[in-house]
Amino acid sequence: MYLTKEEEKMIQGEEGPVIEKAMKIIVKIGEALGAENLINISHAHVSGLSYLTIGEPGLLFIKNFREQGARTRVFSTLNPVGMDLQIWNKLNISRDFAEKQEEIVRYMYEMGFEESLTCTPYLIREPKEGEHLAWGESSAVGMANTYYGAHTNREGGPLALMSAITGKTYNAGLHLSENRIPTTKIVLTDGINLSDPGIAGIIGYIVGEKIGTGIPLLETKTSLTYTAVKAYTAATGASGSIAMSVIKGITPGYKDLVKKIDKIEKIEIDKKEIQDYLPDENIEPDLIFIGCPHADMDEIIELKKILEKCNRTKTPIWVSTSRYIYNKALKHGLIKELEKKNVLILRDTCPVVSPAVRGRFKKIATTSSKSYFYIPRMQNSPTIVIPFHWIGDYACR
Amino acid sequence: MQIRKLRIKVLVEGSAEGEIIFLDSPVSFLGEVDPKKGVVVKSGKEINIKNKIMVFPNSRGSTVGSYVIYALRYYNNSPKAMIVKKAEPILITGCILGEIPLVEIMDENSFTEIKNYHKAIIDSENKLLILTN
Repeated sequence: MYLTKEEEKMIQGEEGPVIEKAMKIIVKIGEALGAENLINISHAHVSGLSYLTIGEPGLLFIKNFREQGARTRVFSTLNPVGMDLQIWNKLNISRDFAEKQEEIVRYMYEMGFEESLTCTPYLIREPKEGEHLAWGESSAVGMANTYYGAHTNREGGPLALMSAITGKTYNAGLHLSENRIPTTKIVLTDGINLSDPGIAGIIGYIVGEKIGTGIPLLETKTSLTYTAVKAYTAATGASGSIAMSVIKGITPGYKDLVKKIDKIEKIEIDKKEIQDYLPDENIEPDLIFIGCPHADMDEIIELKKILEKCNRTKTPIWVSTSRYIYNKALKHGLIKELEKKNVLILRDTCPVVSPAVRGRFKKIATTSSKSYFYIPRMQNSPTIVIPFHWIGDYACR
Repeated sequence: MQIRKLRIKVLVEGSAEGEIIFLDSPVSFLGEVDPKKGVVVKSGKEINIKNKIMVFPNSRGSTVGSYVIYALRYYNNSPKAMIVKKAEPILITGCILGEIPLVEIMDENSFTEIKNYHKAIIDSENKLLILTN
């Protein structure tokens, strides 16, 4: 791999052992992926921070970098952790877990990471078209590439940490324009309600399962909403390993990307396949969960509207969001409105990476297909996926 | 005795040999692998991967998967090597940190043939996978 003089110095230890170690890891990964050189990034987003998912080995890995004096060199954000840092003791979280989780967060803050703790870093700092990022968090990677036209691979959490402290990543995969050309056209039959993020997520789930990897091309008659793109991309990265889709009317540079298509496969998804994912009408969930990825303002406002028709909800509703969006919603009086309707708003975390739901619910209804994939696997809790517009039916009975 | 040799691309160096565990669906390391037990969990069934040659088409799902692979090594439950059709950054990162040899089968169509064999030897130097029964 070709390295600049500056990069040579870094990898030879002239900037200290932690930079040397991080550079060696980046180069090794890059070489395995055929990278010819390294590039500078403008934003690193690190995943793998929940004590539930990374455990002792992950904590020690991070601690090691902290103790050797690692510091972030670019704007660097953090993924959700295993609990809401403020109200964890009301959420079935043990003191032991909380201490370990706080330890991880402390190390990250001490290394210079932004107080973020969200899977929606693009809401904190909007990626620019064409800019290079090193992001972990498959749902955020999907948005960065698909919606914002920025360039990032689906980086493992550890690699994103190495990139945060060096400001570098390897130049391969989606950093190269020639690798961003669609490979599979998704044909949707008529009658599919694309404006509902719950439905958009199911489409993503099916795409991920059917094609696994590659770059799907979506040309829909009506444009997907922002929240729908968010739900769709998150699901493709859960059931599959898709890091980017090209969506007409959404993806920057769509026309140029489509022009470059040489050969493209085709798969069809019909209305019935989507309906097969939906539960029977007489299912009674004991929890409704939204916010995977973390709820944005549109979702919070939409939820408020839906619940305006209820006096008090019968089924508890949990919403996961970022501190960033929570504070915005708070200013607009939305948090108070939702709390009046028995909604619990969680910051910093979500049921996928937190033990908060474990063993507590018989049936969780979620609008998130990503959660539909993970919650049963991670928390052993039966989960069903529903369209957003069904929330009222389940909540307000 | 049956023997077959397949050409491989070496992503994480290392020689290895052992009993094949063939999985025909993609693996999400977060959620489908328990590093404390050294097993892959699919449809409620636990499949032991410790000290085996773990063969699967590709990884999927969470970027936290790299940490799960690293944890396999930490808990001394790692497979001897991993063989895939296509490797992605999450998998490569995990195998580098966990020091687990990782190879890709060059001819994707030959991948399913591996199912028919009991033992695998990874010859990193010659870039060959030797399968025996």
